[in-house]
Amino acid sequence: MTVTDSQRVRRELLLRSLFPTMPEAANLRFIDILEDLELPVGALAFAQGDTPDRFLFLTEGRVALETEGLPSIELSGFSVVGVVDAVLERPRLRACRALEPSKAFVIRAVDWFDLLEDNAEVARAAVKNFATRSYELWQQLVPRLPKKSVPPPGIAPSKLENYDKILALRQASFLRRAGMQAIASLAAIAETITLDAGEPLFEVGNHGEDFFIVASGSLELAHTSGAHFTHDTGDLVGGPAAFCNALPSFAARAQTSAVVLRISQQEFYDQAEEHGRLLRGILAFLASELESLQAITVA
Amino acid sequence: MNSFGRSRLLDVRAGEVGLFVRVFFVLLLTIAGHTLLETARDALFLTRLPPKMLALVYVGVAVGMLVITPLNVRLTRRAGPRNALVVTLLLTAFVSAWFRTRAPSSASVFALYVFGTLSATLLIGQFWMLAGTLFFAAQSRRLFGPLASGGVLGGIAGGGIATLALEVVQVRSLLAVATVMYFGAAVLVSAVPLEDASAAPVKARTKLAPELTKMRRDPFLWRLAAIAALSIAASLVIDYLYRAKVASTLLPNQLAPFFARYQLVLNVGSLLLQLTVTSSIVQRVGVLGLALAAPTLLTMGGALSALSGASFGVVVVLKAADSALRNSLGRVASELLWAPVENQARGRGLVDLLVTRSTQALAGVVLLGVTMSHSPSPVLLAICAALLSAAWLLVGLGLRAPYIALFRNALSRGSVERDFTLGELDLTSLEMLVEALAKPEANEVIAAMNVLAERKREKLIPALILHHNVEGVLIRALELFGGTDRKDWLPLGERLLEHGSSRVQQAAVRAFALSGVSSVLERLMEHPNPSLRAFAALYLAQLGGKTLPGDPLSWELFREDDAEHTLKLAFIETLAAHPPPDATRILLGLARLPALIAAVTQSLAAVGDESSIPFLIGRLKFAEERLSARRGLVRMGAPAFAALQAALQLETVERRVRIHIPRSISAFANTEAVSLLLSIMLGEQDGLIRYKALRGLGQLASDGPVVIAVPPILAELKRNALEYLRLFSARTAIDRANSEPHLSVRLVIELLDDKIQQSFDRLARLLQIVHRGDDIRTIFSALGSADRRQRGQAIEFLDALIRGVGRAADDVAELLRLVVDDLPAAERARRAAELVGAFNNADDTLELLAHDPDAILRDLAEHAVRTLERPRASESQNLAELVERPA
Repeated sequence: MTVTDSQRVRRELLLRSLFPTMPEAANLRFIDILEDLELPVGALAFAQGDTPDRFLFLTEGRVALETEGLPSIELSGFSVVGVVDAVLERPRLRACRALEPSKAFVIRAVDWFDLLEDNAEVARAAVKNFATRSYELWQQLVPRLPKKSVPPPGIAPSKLENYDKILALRQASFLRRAGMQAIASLAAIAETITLDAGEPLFEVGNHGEDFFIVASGSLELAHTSGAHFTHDTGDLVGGPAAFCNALPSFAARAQTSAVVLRISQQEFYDQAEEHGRLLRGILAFLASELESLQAITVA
Repeated sequence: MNSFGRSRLLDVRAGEVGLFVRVFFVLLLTIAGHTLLETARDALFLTRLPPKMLALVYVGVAVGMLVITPLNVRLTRRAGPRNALVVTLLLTAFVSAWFRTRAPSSASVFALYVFGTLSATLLIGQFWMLAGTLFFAAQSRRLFGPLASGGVLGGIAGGGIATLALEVVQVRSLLAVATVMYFGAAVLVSAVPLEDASAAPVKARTKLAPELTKMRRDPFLWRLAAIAALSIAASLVIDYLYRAKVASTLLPNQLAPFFARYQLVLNVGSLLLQLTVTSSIVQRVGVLGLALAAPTLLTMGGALSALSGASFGVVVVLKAADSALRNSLGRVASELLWAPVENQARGRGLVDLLVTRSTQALAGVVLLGVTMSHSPSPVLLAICAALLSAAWLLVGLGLRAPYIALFRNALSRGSVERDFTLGELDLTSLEMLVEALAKPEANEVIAAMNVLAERKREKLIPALILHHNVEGVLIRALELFGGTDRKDWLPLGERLLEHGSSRVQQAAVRAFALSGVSSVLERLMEHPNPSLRAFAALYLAQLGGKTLPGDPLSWELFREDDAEHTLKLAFIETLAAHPPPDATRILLGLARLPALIAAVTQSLAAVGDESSIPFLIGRLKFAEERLSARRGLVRMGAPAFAALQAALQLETVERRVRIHIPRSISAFANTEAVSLLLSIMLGEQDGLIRYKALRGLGQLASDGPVVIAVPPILAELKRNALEYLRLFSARTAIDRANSEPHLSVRLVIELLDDKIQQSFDRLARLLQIVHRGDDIRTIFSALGSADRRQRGQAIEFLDALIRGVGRAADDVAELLRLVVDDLPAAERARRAAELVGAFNNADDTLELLAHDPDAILRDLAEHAVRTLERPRASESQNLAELVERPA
């Protein structure tokens, strides 16, 4: 498929309007890996159960994500459609049907992941975008959410050698899809922090440049709005908030004696550049967080 | 390369055995019946009629086929391949029985000859069409060779029975035995399950003319048609030569025993060929190589016959070769070549009906014409056979590209030709962009300005845009106008010096500075806003070429600067637009302030001074600055390229920088970059750097016409395939012994899974470099498809794609087949053992991995070994094979 000049310009205009900060090189590559899709009313962009090998940037019209027994989710204007399934690498949970004549750009998931792998800035922007959406939704829904996370089964190591750090990180939900190579690399750079009950991990106004993973014990996270949340073994402190620089609005304190692993964001993203699966794993984590929050909204 | 011969001889897998055996015996009985009929037919014919009547038989057969083929196509469409075969077998059985009851006469032996040839052609064609619907492409490759052995065994059975029977009964009695064989085959084939929906009979009638046009336009189909025509013509000439030679050499009473023994010897020879050569040839040379085997051998055989003066022995061997190849290699090749053709029944019907039969009739008429006037010289016939076979070979050589295209289409992705170059804007695009400049949405206006600027068409942005009421639009427009030779924006720009937004004011000052309009800047020195005055002073000093010695961070000029370093940042930007001789020194001085480094990197990239190369290389480690630094390095050309190359070799350069050097090298996009990336990919110690070199090569391959040598890529493909098989075998060994592995062992398994997937991904990337026009990633996705047919097609496609580049490519193709094969894991590991060593059990495997050069794998395996509580092995015999690592 050859992208014609006018097609390219149309895409450039749209993408530059939507992602003004995207670096020029990434933008040009992005433009070339898109395909045009026109959907007449009633047409399916994808069916339930399809392989999520691509997703859409809806540019015109209105579509609905449908499945039996659940309310439809309608999307219109500029929307990214089907990305959650692609990131979570699972068959389509919902079909996408055009409710009115619609136009979209289609991108193959592998091309998108390649683009992210090649361009750390775009990758971070994608992570931040998912995280921000989750965090905003979380802020809206926080009164309705359970106050405590469910700790994963497994051991809570007490003395953290490198191997124990691997075990601790392996339990972390946000690294569930990161792959063992990435986890082992992160373990090598993770720093252990031991906290007594009541001891603060960070206060409101912290610089928010680190990730903290609970290796054992529990921590209370408090937001400036007054919302409180308890983190257990395997939790990333702050969840999506940690990925959109929102941690400065929180304070964290040990509820019990606890062991926490600290990884600087800079080093973390360096590892994400080395291990493509780590980036995919983070996106999958954020996508699943967003999806569970959206499910509460729909319900 | 080691072969996998033992297991390749008969590779029938679970779930295939029952069907394979049934189909095998159908062919065996059919060919046994035909061999008996053929022996009787040949002996009766040459006893009662002269050899020159053979030419008339060929015409008769061709005319008969022209009549029967449409009926056969209709029958196959309506009843399906299985039922069509049952009907034909039963009819053949009845007609054979009828000939048995008739006293031989000239007319009846003529008719028997025509009937025998017609029935054999129909039955064999129908059988293979049925087989083609029962097995998908990858199965066909494995099973058609052994299946064809059924035919050869049938030939041996038929020949053996004929030889023994002729000791006690007359020739005609062979027809009765043939009848029994045909009937048995019919009973057996009726028990074969019906074909699936995708192979169901096509109900729609099609017109001939459009089909012919389609065939003419399809480069693969017309080649298949040409091959069919040339092969049938060569075969007829050889057949005539052989029979004429036999008739002129032997006495009539010697004919029947000769033909019976000939059939027996021929089929035993064919069987040996089948068992020793065909299967391994199919696996080793691929379908296309196989298709060339028969014409190559026949060309040589024909030439040898001519040179020998068409001696009896050589002619018999030539005929035997033609028959044996036709029923073994030739048949398998033909079936495999037809396998990916859509609407195979229609295409084959057309080729059979028109091409083969027309050629047969034409050849018959020519022979008839020749034999009417005089007996053709055997040497001349041998030369004709050699020439026709050579032409067949030539056509076969052109099959590769269209064959691959067929799979490409079958996998529904098409060829993805990507054009990443920025072309000139056409009128439609320009209209679209100018229209976008008038849109109410500021983002769209900015986007349009950016697109125009990148295409060097910023002159099309009207100066009137400075009347826009959105701050972002004004700032971007001023950024673009500043530094150009345009003057039309100056009056409007001056107006913006009084704008309510300080950012717009600063942008206006900057634009005047970048354009070198010092008169406006001098007027600004009287402006009431101290910030603007400072800006103006700064720019004037810089424009005036005043020497600015000392540490720039302590300059008086910046005394008024704010916490965001607005003045310094503006100054850095202006330095890039109008760099003084000591710009690099000043910029590097400013770079000591962390908040300014990114801006400094950007400016140094624009200044393009070679003394900034080390700084720019150092900035590659930061994601936000990487693109700017890379752009600057590329701009500086050869010195920067050499510096990057040197930095890669230096251990003092930190790894965070080194890992980004390969992609920086690929940004140079020239042959030197390709060559350096190839050497990094093959020789670098750090796996990530090798991987980045691979990605760089991938980028170059997809972006443009840079030539990338294939042999190093093949070598890397081989390394990766071996690495995949090694890890896969290790994982299989650990997994097999542990249904519920200890946690430490589970970690090793998870890591191996990770690395196996990584090797697989790299194989796809490497192949993509070699075959840039194809969407290899999608083909690899199809390898994991739940649809077996699609999976099979993907395997065949990859195989066909890789082969043909040379011996190394064929070796890689063979390795890749094992990587992507859908054999059970244990069987794949067993076959891989010859290549990567055997992993006997979980404990030994973990011990081996505890010596692995990969630090993470070694550590985790060591930990797992400690949980085994058994003595550690001191040395591993497989260790030597674990040292070399792929990208």
